Parts: sequence; structure tokens; C-alpha cells
Amino acid sequence: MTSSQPEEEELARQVSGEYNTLRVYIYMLKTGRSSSGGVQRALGFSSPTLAVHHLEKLSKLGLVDEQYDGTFLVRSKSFGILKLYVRTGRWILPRTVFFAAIFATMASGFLVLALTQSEPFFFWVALVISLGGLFYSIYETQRFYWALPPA
Amino acid sequence: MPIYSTRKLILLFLVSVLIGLVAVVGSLPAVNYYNHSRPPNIGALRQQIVYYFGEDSNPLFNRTVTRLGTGLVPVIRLDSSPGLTPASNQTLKMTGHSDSFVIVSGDWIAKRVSDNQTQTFLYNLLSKGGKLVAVGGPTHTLFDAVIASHVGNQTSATIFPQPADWPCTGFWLKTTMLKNGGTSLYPSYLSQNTTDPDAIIDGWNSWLTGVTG
Repeated sequence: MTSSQPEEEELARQVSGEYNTLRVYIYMLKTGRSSSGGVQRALGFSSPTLAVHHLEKLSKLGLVDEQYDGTFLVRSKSFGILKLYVRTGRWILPRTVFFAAIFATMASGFLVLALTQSEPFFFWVALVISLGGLFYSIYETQRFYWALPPA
Repeated sequence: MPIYSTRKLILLFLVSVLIGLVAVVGSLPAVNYYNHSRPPNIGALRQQIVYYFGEDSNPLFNRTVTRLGTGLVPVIRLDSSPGLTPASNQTLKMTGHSDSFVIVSGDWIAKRVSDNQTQTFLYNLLSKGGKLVAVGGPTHTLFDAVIASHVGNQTSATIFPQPADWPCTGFWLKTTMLKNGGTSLYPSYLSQNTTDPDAIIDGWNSWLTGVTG
């Protein structure tokens, strides 16, 4: 962990700190493989050269591998803000989505208990707390989701 | 950024749901334990002199009287064993007060609905504002016994029989102030659908304070 820490810091500085480089990396994470032309069209860059510049930068940092046919293949690494997300297929989800699932289940369960138990006071209290947790985790999930640059 | 397959992502969501369910299911015994470890509210019941007729084998009745007597409210045992009458001079003198609270079992009262001595006892107790509760067994017979005692003569309201055998029933002629400054009696019924002695005692307290009944 200590040996990878400087590398992570360097990646965070070189990629997370550069808006367009991060956009290209996120786009590559979503698609898995793309050409420079594909990156240029998807992200609306003015020229393919700009896309090549960012892809080569990512390649130097070991985040993409250039293939024999000119396309680039992504290598998934966890650094900077990206540590707060998980990826599945084309989806990049904030980790807080799992907290939302926990609180949603709790809120549903406590609602059922509050409506069916003979002494429901504590279940109403638990329901209110769970709803508070649910709304906060949804709010944070939404904030994290929009924190990533569009790609 | 960790890469999860769709299967792993679904699995993680299921684990999250499971954690939520464990929290909900785990709260049930915790809340039950808290509710039942809390002593019942007995503020109003402490203002009463509590009597019970002790010759009975009804489990709920015995559990309730035992619970009441273990550090909550002093309880005085009345004797109605064969050969003795609930309408003895001593019993009538002791219980004929507005702060008397008499506990019987449903079986005890069922056997005595038509007994003249019991009717005298009930009339003496209820007409002076005493309270009567029946715990366990055929508790609806309490209202039959109250009607048979003719204590209804004391109130302009009709006393109705209650057909259901709730775990606990009760009857009390409450005193109310009239606009002309006089007083009047009106019937107050108690029906409790719980077999938890603490909840029954809690319900008596609420009944006395006018929250229920």
C-alpha cells in the first residue's frame, strides 16, 4: 500500500487534476476500448490530435494500452476521486448507492412493523431515522454521480 | 476503481438489503425486551386499595396478581373459600369505598353471577365508586354479575352486557359533576386484549386516569 501511494498521488495529480484527461479516462472506462476518433466524436473535441494527446498521456501513466490496430484498451485503476466509485459494464456508480439500498430496506421494514405492531412508537422513530439516512444517502449519491465530468 | 461484474453488483445489492433486513428483524426482540423490562405505570393505581379474591387457579389471574404484588402495589387478599361469603361484614366494610379496586378471575365471578351474597358485595362496592376487574377465564360474566346486582339503579344510564371474553374486563360507576352542582354516576367499561400482566396493569392505570374506558 505504501509503495503504490506515490503512484496513486501522481495519477490523481496528472489525471484527476486535468479535466479533459479525466473525461477521456472515464469515457475509456465506460467503453473499454476506443480509437482516438471515437474519443474525439464522443467528447466533442475540436480535433483528433487533442484526443490523441490525452490518450498518449493516459498511456504513459499506464491507464490505457495502445493496440496494434491504433485503438486503445483501458486498464482500470483506483485513484483520487475514482476510489469512491464502482464500475460495472458501462455504469459507474458511487459507492454510497449501497448505503441507500440498506436504508431503503430498513425504512420499508420499519414502516411495516410500525403499521402492524401493537406498540409501534419505537418503530416510528426507527422509520424516521431510516428515512433520514435514506434521503441523505440519495443526496450524497446524486452529488457523487454529478461530481464526475460527463463522458 | 473496482470493476464489478453485473452478478457481483447484484450480489452486493442483495447483501445491502440483507444488512437492512437484519437491522429490522433484530430490532423486534430488542424493542420487545425494552417494552417488557419497563415497569408498568402505576401512579393512579397506587391511590387505590387493591383487593383480590385468592381462591383461584387461573394462570393469567395468578400471574397478574403476583406481578402486582412484587414491588408495584400492595395487594390485600380477601377470603371467599367455601363456607365463607364475599358479603361478610368485614369484607363489605373494607371494600365499600371509592378507592377500592377489586380483582377477581373470570372463573370466580362466573360461578357467582346468581349468588345473592356476591350481588350484595358487588352492589356495596360499585355503588360507592369502587372498581371491579376480572382477569382470565369467562370475563364477560363480570358484566352479567354487575347487572344482576341491580347497581344500575344508581345510574340513569343502562348497563349493557358485553359478550366477548377479553383477557381482562372491568366495570366502574364513575362520578361526574352536573351543571347544577350535583353529582351523577355513569358506567365505565374496561376491555383489554392482552395477556401480558404488565400491559394489563398499565391498562388499569390508564382506565383510572381516564385515558381509556
